[in-house]
Amino acid sequence: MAKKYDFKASELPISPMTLTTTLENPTGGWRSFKPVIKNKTAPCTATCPTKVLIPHFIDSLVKGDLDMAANLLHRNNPFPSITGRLCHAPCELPCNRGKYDEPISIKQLERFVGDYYLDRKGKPPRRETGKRVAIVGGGLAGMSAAYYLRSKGHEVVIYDRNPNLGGYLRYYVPEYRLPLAVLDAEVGALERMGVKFVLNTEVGRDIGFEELKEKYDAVILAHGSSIPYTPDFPGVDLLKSGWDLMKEVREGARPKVSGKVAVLGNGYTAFEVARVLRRLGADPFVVYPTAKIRIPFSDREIFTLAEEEGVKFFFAKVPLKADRRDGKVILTVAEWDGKAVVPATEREMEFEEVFLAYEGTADHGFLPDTIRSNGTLKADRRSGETPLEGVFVAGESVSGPSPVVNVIYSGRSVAAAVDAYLRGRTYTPENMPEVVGYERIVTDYFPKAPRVPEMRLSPAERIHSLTREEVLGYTQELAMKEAERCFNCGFCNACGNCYVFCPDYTIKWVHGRPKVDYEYCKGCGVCSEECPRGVIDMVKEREF
Amino acid sequence: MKLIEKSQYTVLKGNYAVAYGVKLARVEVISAYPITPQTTISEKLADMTATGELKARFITVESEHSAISAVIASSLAGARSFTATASQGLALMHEMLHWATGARAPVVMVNVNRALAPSWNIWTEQTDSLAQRDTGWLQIYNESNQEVLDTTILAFKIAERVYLPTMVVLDAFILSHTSEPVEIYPQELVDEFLPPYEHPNAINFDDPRAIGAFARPDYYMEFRYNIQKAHEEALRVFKEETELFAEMFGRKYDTVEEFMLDDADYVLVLAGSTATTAKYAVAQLRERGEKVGVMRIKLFRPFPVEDVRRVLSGRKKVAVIDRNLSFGHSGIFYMETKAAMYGAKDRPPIFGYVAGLGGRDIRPQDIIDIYEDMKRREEPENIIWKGVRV
Amino acid sequence: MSWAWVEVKPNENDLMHPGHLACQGCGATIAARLALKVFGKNAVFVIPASCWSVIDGAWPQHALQIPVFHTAFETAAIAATGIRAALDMKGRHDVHVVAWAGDGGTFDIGLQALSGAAERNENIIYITYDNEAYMNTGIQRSSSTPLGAWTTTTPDERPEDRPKKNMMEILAAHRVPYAATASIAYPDDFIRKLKKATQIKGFRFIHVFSPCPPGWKMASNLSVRVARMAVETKVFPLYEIEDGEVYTITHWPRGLPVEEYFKLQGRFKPVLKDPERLAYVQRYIETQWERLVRLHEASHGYLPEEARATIRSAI
Repeated sequence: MAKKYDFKASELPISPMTLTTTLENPTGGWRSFKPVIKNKTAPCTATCPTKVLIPHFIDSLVKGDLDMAANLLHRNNPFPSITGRLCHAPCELPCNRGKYDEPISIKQLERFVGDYYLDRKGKPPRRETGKRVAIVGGGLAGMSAAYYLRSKGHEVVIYDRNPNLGGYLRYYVPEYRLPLAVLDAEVGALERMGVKFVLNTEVGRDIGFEELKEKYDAVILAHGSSIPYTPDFPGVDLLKSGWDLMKEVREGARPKVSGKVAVLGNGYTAFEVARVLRRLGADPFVVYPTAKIRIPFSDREIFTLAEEEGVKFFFAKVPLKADRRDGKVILTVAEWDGKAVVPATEREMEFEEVFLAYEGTADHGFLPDTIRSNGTLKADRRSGETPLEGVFVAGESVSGPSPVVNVIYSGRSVAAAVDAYLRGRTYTPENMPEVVGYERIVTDYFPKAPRVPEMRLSPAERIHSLTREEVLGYTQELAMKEAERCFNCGFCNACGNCYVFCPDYTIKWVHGRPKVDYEYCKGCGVCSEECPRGVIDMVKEREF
Repeated sequence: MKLIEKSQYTVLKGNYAVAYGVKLARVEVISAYPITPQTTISEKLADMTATGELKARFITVESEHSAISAVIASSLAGARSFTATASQGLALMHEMLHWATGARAPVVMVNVNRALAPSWNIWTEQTDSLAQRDTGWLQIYNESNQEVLDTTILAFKIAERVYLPTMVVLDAFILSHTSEPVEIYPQELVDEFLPPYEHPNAINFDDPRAIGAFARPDYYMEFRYNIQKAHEEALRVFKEETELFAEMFGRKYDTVEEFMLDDADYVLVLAGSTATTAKYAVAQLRERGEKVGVMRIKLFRPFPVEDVRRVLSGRKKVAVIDRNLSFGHSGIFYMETKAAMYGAKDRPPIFGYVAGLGGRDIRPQDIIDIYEDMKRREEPENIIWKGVRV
Repeated sequence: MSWAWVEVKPNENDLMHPGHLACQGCGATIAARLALKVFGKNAVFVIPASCWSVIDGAWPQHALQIPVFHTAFETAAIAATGIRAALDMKGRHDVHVVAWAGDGGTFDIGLQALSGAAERNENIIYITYDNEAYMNTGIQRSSSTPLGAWTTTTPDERPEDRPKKNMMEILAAHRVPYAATASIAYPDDFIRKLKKATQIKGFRFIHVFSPCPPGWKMASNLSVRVARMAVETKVFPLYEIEDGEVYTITHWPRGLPVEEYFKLQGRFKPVLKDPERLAYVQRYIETQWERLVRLHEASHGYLPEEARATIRSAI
């Protein structure tokens, strides 16, 4: 209620001139809905397995604060330079901008920011907790868990049987796809943080699992799925290993392969082996068990690249038999309907060589039976907790072959669970805030603009080099241009619309952010309607 | 008084007397729209402002409504403001006359009394100004061109003391366009009498307020009470200021002017220049031994009830001669005089005469006829037409 | 995108207190807030009878942190003139005198005083916040009410059958130094025009489109969106006229069909239900727009690329 006075006539001014202000009139009482500025999220972040704060880091990028962009990016993804090259970018599929013109090139922005900050990443934690964690396996999951646990102040020791960290990424993924320099820089960052590495040391062979458990407050098993799967059909032993080929090539060898070659596989490795073979001068065919349309989204990009480069495919086929005749491999394949071989579809094909390139499986042989069952581990998929106290599992060792971003997420969520365990707290998985859909985007505020294409080599250029990076990404200029297209769904980027359009001046601008003055806000809803990115909701004030 | 020696004596039409009064008052904003018989006031002031003789902004508006609106605003922006009009123009201003009072804008307006149309008629009649009786303006009626000049200056002084708009009224042609000798006072002396204008509630950028904001029933009435109190105060101020004026300039005015009233049994009551005719007629009647005098009402609003009662109580008969008419009742001065006398001791019978509408001449013989008619009559009547052909 | 506005700065001249008496979602208050950001404290608003006579607060309260002079319905331009005259006499040439009037007080009852002040080229800024009817008295038609609109005096059975009066043309005919249209949905454009106006001496006129949720029968949150749609459908083009001669369209609309604007409001229900009438309104909008485009072209000698897309029939 407005303030009341009992002015006497003698107390009035001569003219009917006002004496006070409308601040005496708290119009908040008019309101039946109140605007609430929320922290929401975008479809991209919601879809991202590791929940990268995409609208947030892109906003910092637009504002020119690249360090902040990197900082925000690293919060949920420590290795954007890796995901920026290898991620299958599920985030871009539901991008609201895709419903308007074209989705934001999130992956390339991530790569740009990751690379920008790569050499400076990795600071020791401010406080040490004195707790010690051993991580078995220095692949991506182990590295990811190490990054987060170390940043929480725990002492982290990674055990790896190889002479360096990185696992599959270091020893198999070709240079043209992920330059070693990038991986080395990521490893360097962990080193700078103070993560300790015990290399050339295989747990179960050089040091016992029980001993680790004794020495450390917690153990994370991140030994991956590093044993290539070999199918069982007659003559399979006549075939070569695609894995070995990738490894040789990664190490610098350039084996001579030519003519028609076949690659047998069921995922990423098959496509990549075929691409390596193409670069070595062969004419590769991939024998793939499903129809083309069934290629999982996570392998779509690599499939497209392979197809562009002239790799050929036999879809929905499985090998039944292999023979060696006159120096050639005769491969018998048949149609596969997803469950069984289709009768009378057998067909012989002649190749110079046939490579096995199936995805890997995990070897849990060094672990006690208590946490194993039927060749898999008994572990919670998110927290990685096992029946053994203080023992956690992360990455492909529990999930099987997975896209890099899922592996990173696994490392991150298990690290959070381990951190909670070390601090005696209960681990609570992250809650996903409300996702802003396209209907809440006020597209009037966004001029139409096509996606900024990243620089990449043409297929013809690509097939001539095993070392030259195939995707070159964005320059800063291109990155900024692309970043400006982002709707920043659900993330208040302080655009000022709510403040500018508030008819009551009840949205104040405090330290660069909007703040609602509920004492006077009449609840008209203009702020909510004009928020370009659906951050402000009108919430019913009270039930009538 | 040595300063008076510097006065200029000249012959001026009533309208020019107004202009000189405005100039002496150092008016800062003038806004007016042409209407006969006011026009020559505007012309003269336009001339004065154009030559720089008077440092003021003259706004040549597109209507009287705008003329008054402009000066109300300029007055509340802190400038001494003036406008002039007549008849239809005043009627058009009506809305803003209320506004001026409500806003407490002490503007001064000269109204040259002119009859209202139709039929078109440009000659004198008081209905235009008297019809604005309830707008809250002070109304001062004048008899001569000197009085017009003096009253213009006085009007600013009084208006700015009580923060009420003030109307100075003179007759069309009889004063407005008739030349008379007029003393124009030295500026220094007028400056001494009339200090620079200030309004405590004027627009102030350092203390921003809204002037004229809407007020709910719980506050409105107190403002109206204050306007009435200001009118009551104005009566006192009028007396003080006319007193001071007399002291400084040697001319004495009062709320009512008494002429040959000392021993009069009969009183003729009127306002404006007709008073001069009446005085002439009364002088003749006195020569015949008639005990008659004239009471000229100068201040109509606030109405000088006490003075009217003092003058009229105990007389035998009173005739009010109105050059105006409130249709359906009577002449307006008559109505007002009667109302003032209600409840007074020794109340005489009061006779209402209506004469000279639309500028019809009122000659000395007409006054004598009215006097004799009144003497003859037993019962007073509200409306006795003089000179109408029926 | 971060801070999205070029001309509007946060916390600069926020000279309107909350607690004022405008309805929820009032466009006229957005307009005032934005205008004050340009004028700062050195301005006085002259407000004739209009919604703003109420919005500014009931005595003894006052919402604006600048002086306000309330005046009668038809007197905004002349009261502003009077104040200007007084301030000039007092040497206050540094302050802006702003007549802040509704459409009724501008298009109808105030037109005479406005014309007088415009013709005399009084040194004032006249801003009309246009909500296209007498809203304060309860939604009666004014000469600003657009073709096809419902008001309480143009009921659904007989909706407004005359187009909105073209005030800009009337002002242009007075050869005032500056006249511009603006919209609360385009704050940068509005503020640029206000800034331009403050740099010019003489009579300056700004016609700002200010939606009224209750009067337009729409939800209060739609104010800005509806204003934006009015511009993008060419119903309310944003342009300016200098010296009554030079026409410049300051925002090239997307040229959406008029339904996009109408369907947000209940007041156009009768038109929306009547395809013939709707087509007529659309044709009228096209003709008016093409006329404006020609004036722009005549003033500048060429048309920008964006102009083509907005014209349905080729010029």
